[in-house]
Amino acid sequence: MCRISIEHHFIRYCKPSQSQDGKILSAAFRLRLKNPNRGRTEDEKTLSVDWFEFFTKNHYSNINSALIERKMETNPNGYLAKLNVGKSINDIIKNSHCSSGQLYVEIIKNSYSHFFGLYGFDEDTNLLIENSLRENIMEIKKIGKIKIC
Amino acid sequence: MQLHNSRYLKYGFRNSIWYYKKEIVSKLSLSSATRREFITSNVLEEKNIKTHQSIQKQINKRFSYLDIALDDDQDKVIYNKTKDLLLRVLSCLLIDKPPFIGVDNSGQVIAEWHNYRKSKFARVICFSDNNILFQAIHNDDTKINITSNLNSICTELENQI
Repeated sequence: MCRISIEHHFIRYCKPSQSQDGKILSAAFRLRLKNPNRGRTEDEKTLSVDWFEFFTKNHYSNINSALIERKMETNPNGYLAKLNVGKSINDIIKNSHCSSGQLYVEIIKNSYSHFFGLYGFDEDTNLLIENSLRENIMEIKKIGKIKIC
Repeated sequence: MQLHNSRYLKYGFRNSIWYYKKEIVSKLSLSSATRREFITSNVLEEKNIKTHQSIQKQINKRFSYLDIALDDDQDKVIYNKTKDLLLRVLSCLLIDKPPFIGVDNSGQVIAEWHNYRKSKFARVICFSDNNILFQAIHNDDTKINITSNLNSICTELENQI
């Protein structure tokens, strides 16, 4: 498996319930908890993201299509949030107890990637991680306003 | 609110404030030093009540949106449970800025404030096991992390008033 370069970027899909007044909220970066009623026997351990530079043009449109292909029903009122890999990792390390080796974004297939190293911390650290990611958002695009190419 | 309004008519404004405050205090308070910042400790003044009512309206409006905006993979049972808990918490906080309210992928409701008072980030997370987590990152980077639940908060408060 390949890791995304720290100079590159990743996209996180944020649901309509995870944004308000054009701002992305910390809820967008919380890992799912296990829920046997929904068939999830374990907590989510990685954050699902998409590698921005996998596409050479029409990035947002292509990533939206990639999400739909993975059966993620993107909502027109949802957002795609763009973050820099290296800056996000550095800010998490600076603000929390995470060590540099454990944080990385690994490509799963095509643009689909996982952000590793965010799981297994207490709520104190989760606060710092989720707030660091929220503050590191460089750009957001509303799904409904992305031109389909 | 209905109780407050009926008492307002019956006893007049001054008395209604007292009842209003008592009603709020009997519901909830926070533990530790954060309580002093968030919770009413004196008789609420008219403008505070108006602000409180206005914020409650905005919170209810936000929840009206969230009720229909949830995605299929967000658990509605968890959402409804944590929403009820958060509404009870928020109805008792003395805040003059409405929070942003979001729902994580598990369905848990989170209220948060950005750059509010001396915190650059503060939030309240309500869990489906009835625990309530208060967190804040102050401007000087000190952190607050308090876990409690409605019952223990009420018991603690009753011992103090």
